[in-house]
Amino acid sequence: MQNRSDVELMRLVQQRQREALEVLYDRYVRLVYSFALRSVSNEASAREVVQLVFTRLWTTGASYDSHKGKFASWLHTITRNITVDLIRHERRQIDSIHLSEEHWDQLPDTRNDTPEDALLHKSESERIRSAFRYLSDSQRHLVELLYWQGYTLSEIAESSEQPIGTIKSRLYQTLRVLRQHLLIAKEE
Amino acid sequence: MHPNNEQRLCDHLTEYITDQLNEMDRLRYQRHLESCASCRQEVFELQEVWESMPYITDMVDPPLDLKEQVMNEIFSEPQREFKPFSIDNSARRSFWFYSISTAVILSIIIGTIWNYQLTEERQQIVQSQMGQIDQPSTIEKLFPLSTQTDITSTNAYGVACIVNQGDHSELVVYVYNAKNNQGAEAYQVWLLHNSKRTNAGTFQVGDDGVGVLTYRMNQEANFDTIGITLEPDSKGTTPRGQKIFGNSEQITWN
Repeated sequence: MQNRSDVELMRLVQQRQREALEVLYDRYVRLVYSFALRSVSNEASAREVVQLVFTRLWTTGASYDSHKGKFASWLHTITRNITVDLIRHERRQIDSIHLSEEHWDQLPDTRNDTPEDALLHKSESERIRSAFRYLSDSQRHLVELLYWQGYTLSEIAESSEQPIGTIKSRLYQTLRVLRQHLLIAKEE
Repeated sequence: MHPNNEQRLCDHLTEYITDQLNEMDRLRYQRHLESCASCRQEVFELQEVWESMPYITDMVDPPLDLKEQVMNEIFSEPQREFKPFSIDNSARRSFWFYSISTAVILSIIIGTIWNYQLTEERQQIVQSQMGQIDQPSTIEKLFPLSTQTDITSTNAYGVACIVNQGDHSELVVYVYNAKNNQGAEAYQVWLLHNSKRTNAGTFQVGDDGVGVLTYRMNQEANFDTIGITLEPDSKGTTPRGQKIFGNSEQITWN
């Protein structure tokens, strides 16, 4: 079972084989947990995201299509959707919107990569980190709010009292800068 | 489509990349991509950037007890599949569970209808059909379905709705936590109006307890009662098996 591909394991999950889900858990829980912790910044919520992600894999028979990309990317999408839902839910309960730039630097301080994770993450991680150095503070902040904190373009426009067209344009420029430097990093 | 409309769709690029379009606009934009090479290229390039974002995270070891908690939760309480958040107030739990489940079911139904519509349109590749997507499917009536028997799980429930597709109506039925049918058995849907009964087709329920049926409506669109029976096979023209689901009320959607 340990040597099965992600696609094979998902097929077995759809056939209700618990062991397949456990292998997928072992293989990807760090990815899911790390992503969630980066967004929610507290262990209890990160645990809840992990619970919801793997429950969704099991209960929906999840529709992973290997032709549409890597399993890890697909899992990131599911994890982000669930994380953003959770953040928005908690935000509604708090009933206030606080867009602090301070949050940007609050990365988790524990780092303990296994070789497998390093293989999975290292090159991509180095490339994106390298590209991020070319962003201005406001561009980083925009990505933080949009990608990690789950704010919508409209909410950001409203909060910053700028037209949504301006925010969209800033986002476009931000992604273009990242794209340019990701390509450069790839060639190096 | 008018060039101005196409231009407006080009403006949705960033919302599409960041997954902020509603289902209808997302499908519209995907149609637009088929004819706009420039947007296609932009989406390809920027989506790659967007999908690189997760890799900026540092990898963190999850707590050691998390796996046991996750697996226990999944394998000891199968009915929790649609529960998205922990809600401590148990009195509110059933309300939330029901509300969120209904929302999930509706989104699945609407997605199914739109996807079906989109697939049909793609297959035909007829320019004159471009306007169809501008007239979204609408749900006209909704029928919550509850179980009528103890032979299936007490958590079994479902929903049926009539969806207006413009030139015709579709009946869409979803059931959850239903007993899976054995051998040739089939669930059969019956529509009743003024004591007249119509056979709306059969569907299967697998091990996951989920069953789905879509049925193109003709004159039966005015039905007021829906019943689902478990039949010995899918060939019957009158009910022979036990009634499993039925509606107790009807909600007019618009």
